[in-house]
Amino acid sequence: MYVWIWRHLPGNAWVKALISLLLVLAAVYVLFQYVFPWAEPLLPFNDVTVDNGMPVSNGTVAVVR
Amino acid sequence: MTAAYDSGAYAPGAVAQPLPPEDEATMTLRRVEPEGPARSERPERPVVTGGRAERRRAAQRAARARRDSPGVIASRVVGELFITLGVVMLLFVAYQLWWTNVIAHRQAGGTADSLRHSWDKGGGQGAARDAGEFSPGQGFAIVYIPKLDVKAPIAEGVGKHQVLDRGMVGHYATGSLKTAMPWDKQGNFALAGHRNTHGEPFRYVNRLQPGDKVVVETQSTFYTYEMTSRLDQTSPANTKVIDPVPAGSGFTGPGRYITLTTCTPEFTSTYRMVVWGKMVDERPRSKGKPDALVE
Repeated sequence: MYVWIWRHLPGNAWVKALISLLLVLAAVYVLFQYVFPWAEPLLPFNDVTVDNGMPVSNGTVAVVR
Repeated sequence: MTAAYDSGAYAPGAVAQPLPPEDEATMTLRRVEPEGPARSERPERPVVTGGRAERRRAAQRAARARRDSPGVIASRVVGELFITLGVVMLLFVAYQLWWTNVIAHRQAGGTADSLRHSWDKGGGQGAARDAGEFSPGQGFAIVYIPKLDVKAPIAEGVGKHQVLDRGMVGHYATGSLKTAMPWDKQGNFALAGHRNTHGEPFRYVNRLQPGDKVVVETQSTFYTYEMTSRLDQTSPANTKVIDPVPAGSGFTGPGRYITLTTCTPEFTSTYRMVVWGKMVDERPRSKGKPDALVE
């Protein structure tokens, strides 16, 4: 997979290394900006409120609306 | 190879095989025989004698021989996927523990500044305006916990996306979880905040001791509360802790209380920690900061 990408990058080894670095940074940016914020509420790590045990009830979710 | 090996004295199995021609005691190198089928599997580069077409065909044959089998390719892809997954998980941890705090501090700082700014410009409406006027997610106050060096804006509602994940402290304000405002004659001003990540305003709320001050600044007034008691662990479904007279707080009659809720143990959402306090001072902003905020 990565070998395939490396082989298809243009230029010599230095240019390839530079482009790969940019690709890695772009991937990290997409993850931090879009993927992780999306995934975070799906994971049960950070609930701090007391609610009536039914998250879909009029408790916390009503506020989100 | 040593002479002992060559003479067949070393391995019994070697006796059955034809021994290589015995060298004399000279140091000449023996000719290397091609060993076994494993070595000879890779075809040697054919000696090309013909024209261009034949050279090309030979090159294609060599390229086919170099190419990896599908099994090797598949296992390589699977391995790289696993490595990628591990890196992504590490990045997620970094995002949670570091980046959310960076973002939330920036957002909360901006909210607090703009709140201050709008107060200083003077909306002139005073703190007595109805709680219903605040829309969900709107900041309306700033909470200070001097002992913990905490300063965070308070916004209406406890929605994660709208309030808590922006580094703000949320005020329970809707439905059955509606709680009082500081300026109400009596009631319980209940707040929720992150223990970890997203600015973590309530990270060290477990270090508060009875008597420690919690100050809420609104447009017109500083409200000073004194911490009275703490519930280390309770079920997330226990909403009685934010009742007007909170259950388990030791308060017996109605009064002007504050409740802080956050999650415990740290980094999990299994239980909730609750800290209660009662109002001890109310000071117009025009008279300056309360004692608790003066060094």
